[in-house]
Amino acid sequence: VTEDVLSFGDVTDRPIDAAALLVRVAAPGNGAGTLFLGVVRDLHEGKRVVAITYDCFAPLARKELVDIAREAAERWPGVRVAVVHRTGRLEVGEASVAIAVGSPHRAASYEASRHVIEEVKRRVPVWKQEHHEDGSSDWLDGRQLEPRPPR
Amino acid sequence: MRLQVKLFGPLRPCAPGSAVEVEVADGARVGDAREALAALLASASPSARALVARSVLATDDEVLADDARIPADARTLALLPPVCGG
Repeated sequence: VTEDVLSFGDVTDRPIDAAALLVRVAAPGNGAGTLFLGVVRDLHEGKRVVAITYDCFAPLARKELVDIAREAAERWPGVRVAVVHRTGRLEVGEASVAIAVGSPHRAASYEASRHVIEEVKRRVPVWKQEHHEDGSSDWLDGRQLEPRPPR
Repeated sequence: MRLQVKLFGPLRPCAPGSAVEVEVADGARVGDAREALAALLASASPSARALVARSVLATDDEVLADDARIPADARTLALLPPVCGG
């Protein structure tokens, strides 16, 4: 886990504490805060979903989350970002990912939050196995990872 | 060199313990290892070949480009199929 004043990223196999995540991005200069939650839904492509198991390559996932949070804090000056992704089996209604952003103004808070979830979906090595009402399970297809371009 | 390769997501069921070993020449490129893995895993699961074609090899720190040399100190790599986090 890498932590500094402005950004935080991690993976966890326990329920996400959203309130604690908001505390991480609190600052006296904040005029706005946003909390985004990705939540397990009961329906996917016509199938009744009862739970999703999230598999994860933890060392790289943690590093990508830390990098994504730090990059967002650099791109939007004054913004603080904390992002956590859950692993293991989650029931319908449980949060799989949480993104807390604190910011002097609301525009940057919303923009940074949206940016972070799109980067999470593109870069973090996590896979979903859907469990259906009829007892069947499917691994979902996803996006191919890419090597990071040289900086 | 002999590589231990950990499998994730939909590739997990392809091998006991979700890991395989593959032999590659010293100085081989990442793409060579991925080809060898595609052939190896295709024998376990017919759908694995197509999945490995869309997978990447990675260390704990980074995704490796196909044309890069396998790091000389690499003993364990991860084979990562297309991701769907969030």
